[in-house]
Amino acid sequence: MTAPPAGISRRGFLRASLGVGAAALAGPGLLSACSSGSKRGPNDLSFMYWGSSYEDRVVRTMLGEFSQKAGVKTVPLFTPGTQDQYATKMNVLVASGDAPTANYAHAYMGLSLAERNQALNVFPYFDKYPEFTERLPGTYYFWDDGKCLGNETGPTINCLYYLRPAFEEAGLDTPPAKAADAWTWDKFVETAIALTLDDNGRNPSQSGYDPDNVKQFGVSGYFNNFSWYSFVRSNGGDLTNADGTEYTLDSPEAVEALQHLADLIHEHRVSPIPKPGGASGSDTSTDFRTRRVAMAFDGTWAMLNLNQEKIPFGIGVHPKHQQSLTVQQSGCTMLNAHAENPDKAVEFYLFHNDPTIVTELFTSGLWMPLNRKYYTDEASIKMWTDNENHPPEFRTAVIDYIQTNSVTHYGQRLRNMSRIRDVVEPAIERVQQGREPVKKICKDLRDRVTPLLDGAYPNPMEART
Amino acid sequence: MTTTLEAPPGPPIPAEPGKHGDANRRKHRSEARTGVLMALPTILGLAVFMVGPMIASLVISFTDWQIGTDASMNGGSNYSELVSKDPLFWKSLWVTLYYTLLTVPLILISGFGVALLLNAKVKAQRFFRVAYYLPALVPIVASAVLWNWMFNPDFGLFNEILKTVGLPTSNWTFDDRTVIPALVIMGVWGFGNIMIIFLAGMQELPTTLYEAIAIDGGNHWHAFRHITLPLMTPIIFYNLITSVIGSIQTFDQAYMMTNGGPDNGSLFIVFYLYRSAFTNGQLGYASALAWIVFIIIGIFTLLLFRWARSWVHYGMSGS
Repeated sequence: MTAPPAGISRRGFLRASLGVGAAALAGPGLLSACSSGSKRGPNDLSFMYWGSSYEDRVVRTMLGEFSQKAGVKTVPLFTPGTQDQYATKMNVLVASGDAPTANYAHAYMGLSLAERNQALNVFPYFDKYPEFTERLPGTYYFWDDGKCLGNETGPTINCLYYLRPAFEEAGLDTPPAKAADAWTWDKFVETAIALTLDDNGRNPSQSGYDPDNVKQFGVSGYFNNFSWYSFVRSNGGDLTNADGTEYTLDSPEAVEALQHLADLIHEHRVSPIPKPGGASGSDTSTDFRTRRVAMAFDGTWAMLNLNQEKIPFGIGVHPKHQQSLTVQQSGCTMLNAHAENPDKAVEFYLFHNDPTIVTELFTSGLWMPLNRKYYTDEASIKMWTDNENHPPEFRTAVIDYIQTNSVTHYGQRLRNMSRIRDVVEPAIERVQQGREPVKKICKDLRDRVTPLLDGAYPNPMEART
Repeated sequence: MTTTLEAPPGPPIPAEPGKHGDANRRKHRSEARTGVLMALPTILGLAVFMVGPMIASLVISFTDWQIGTDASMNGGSNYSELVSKDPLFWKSLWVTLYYTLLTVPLILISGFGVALLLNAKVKAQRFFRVAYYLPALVPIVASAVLWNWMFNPDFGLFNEILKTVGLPTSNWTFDDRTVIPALVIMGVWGFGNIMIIFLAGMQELPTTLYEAIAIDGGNHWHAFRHITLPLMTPIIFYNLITSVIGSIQTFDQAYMMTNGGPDNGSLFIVFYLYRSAFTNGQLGYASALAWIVFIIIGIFTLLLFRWARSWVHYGMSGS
C-alpha cells in the first residue's frame, strides 16, 4: 500500500477523502435543490412555452403585466427547440412532479397528458367566463364529455404563399385569394411547371431542361406541417372515419390526392425532395429570400419571418380537388391539474393570448385570435390586420377561408396520436420517396394503423355550430 | 528465457509466533479498511448512480408506467409486445445492426491505416496528427449542421462534386436506402479518437523487433504482418469493443439530423428508446427496451471476448 503524502496523517487523509466523497454525493442534490427551488415557489405561476426570441420577448412582457394585474409572481420557462425536445422537457417535469402551472403543448401531448389527469378541466369555467364559448369551433381541445383542457394557443391554417417577383418575371397570374376562384389541380401544376427553372432558364416542359441543376423550384412545403392532409380532405378522403375507429387513407380519393403530391416531385419535377422527419429543414422565408422556390405551403405563423425579412410575398387559397380546403391546426395551452390556485390560473389562461394584451403577436402576423368576433366584426378585424404585415388578400385567403373552407387536423381529433403518428409519418415519407405506388403504401399502412385506433375525442363546440 | 530462478539456500523459515501473526492480521485488516474507504466514493457513485437506477429500470420494465399515471405490474407484457407486436422495435434493431456492421470495420481500418501513416517519420507530422484528430473535437451539433448541408441533394457539396466528375448523385440522408451509409460516412469521419489510441500503441512497440526483422532480411510488409499487427491486437480489440458498444448506442445523428427518418430508416434503437420514454412518456415500455439493448450489448461483448482468444496476443510471448 502506498503511504499517504508526507505531512498528512493517515487519519487526516481518510477524513479528507471521506469529506470529498460526501461532498461529491451531496453536491448534485444541493445544486439541484438550489436550481429548482430558488426560482419557482409553490404559489408562483410558471409558464412554459416555445417560440422565437421575438415571441419570448413579448411573452415575458405579458407575464410581467399579469404579475402586476393579479399580484402573483410569474416565472417564464422559455423552451426553444424541436417538438420532441419540448415534449421531453415537459414529460420530465411531469414525471418529477414539477410541471409548470401553464404551458404550451403539442396537440397529441396536451390531450395525452389530459387523459392522464394532468390537465385542469376548464369546462366548469365556461359559465363564469363566456369568452370561453365564443371561440372558433375547431380550436377546442376536449378529452372527454364535459372535459376540456382549453383551446389552441392561436389558430393557424395552412396557406399557399407565393413570391411576387417570381410571378411578375414569369408573367403569370398569382394564385387566387378567394376559395370560389381556387385553381384546379391541373392549373396549379401548370403554374408550378412554368415557375421551375434550371440554370439555363428552361422549365420541365421544355426540351433540354436539366433537372440536376435547378435554380428555382415551382413549389414546396406540401408534405410539411400536415399540409398533405388538407389535399386528402379536399379530395373527399381522410385518415380515418369520423369517429376514429376505421382506417380510410387507402380510399381511392385519399390515394389520388397523395399521388398528386408525390408526382409534383417525381413526375413533374417542380419540387425539391422534402427533408426527413422535418428535422433541420429550411423554412419558407429562407426559400423565398434565396429564390429557391416560388410558391410554398406553410402555416400562417410564417408571416412573421416573411415580414421581418421584408420579403414581397402574397397569400392564395389551396388549389382544389373536389373543393378548395385547408387544414387548421395548432398546439394548445393547458393548465396544470394540480395548480395551487386554479382560479388564478384560469384568469391567466384568458389573459395570455388576449389580442388586446399581446397585440404585437397578432399584428406581426405570428398569431391569429381565437374569438370569433375577430373574424366577423369589422372593427375587431381591423384591430389586428389593418397594418403592413397583413397583405390585402389576407381577408379572403385567411379570415374568410378559415371559417368556410378549413378542417381541423386529425392530430387534434384522434386518440392515441403519439403512437399513430409513429407509423403515419414514416408512411408519408415513403410517399415522398416516390419509389412505390401510393396505393400500396396506403394499403400497407392499414395493418399498422388499425390496431392503434382508439376512437376520437368529442368536440361539442364544433357540433354546436 | 532459459534461466530458472531458484530460492537461495538458507535456514528454514520458522512459523510466526502468535504475537506477530496478530499484528500482521491487524495490519491487513486496517489496510483493507483503508482501501475500501478510499474507494468508497466510487463504490457509492456506482451504487447510487448506476446499479440503483439499473435495478429501478428493471423493475419499471415490468410495469405499465406512463408518465403522469400510477404504475402497476404487468408481468412481461412490455417484453412480449416489443418482440411480437412492435414492428418499430425490429426495424430499429436492424437499423442499429446495419449501422454497426458498416461503421465498426470502416472506422477501425481508417483509424489503423492513418495511425500507421502518422507513425512514420514524415514532414509536418504534427500538422497531420492535428488535422486528422480535429474532427473528433468538433461538437456533434456543429458537425450535424455541416453534414446536413453537405448531404443536401439539391445544393449539397457531395452531389456537386459527383456532378462535376460526371457520377450519378445520391439523396444521402433524404432517402431511407441511403441514410445509413450516409451516416456511416459521417461517423467514420470522426475516427480521430480511435486513431490516437492506435498511434499511442504503435509508439510503444519495441524498436528492437523491427531491427531484428530488418537484419533477417524482412521488408515493411513482413514487419507489419509479423510485428505491428500481432502486437497491436490488444489495442485493436479494445477499439473494436468500444466501437461496437458506441455504435449500438448511436443516438446523436438521428436526434440532430434525421429525426429517425425517412421512413424510420435511421431509427436507431437508443433513439427509439428515448422517443418511447420522453416523447411518448412510456417509461415501462422504454425500460424494457433499455434492458434489451443492455442484453444485446452484453451478448456482443461476450462473443467478442470469446473470439478474441483466438487472435489477440497479450505480451511478446503471445497467448
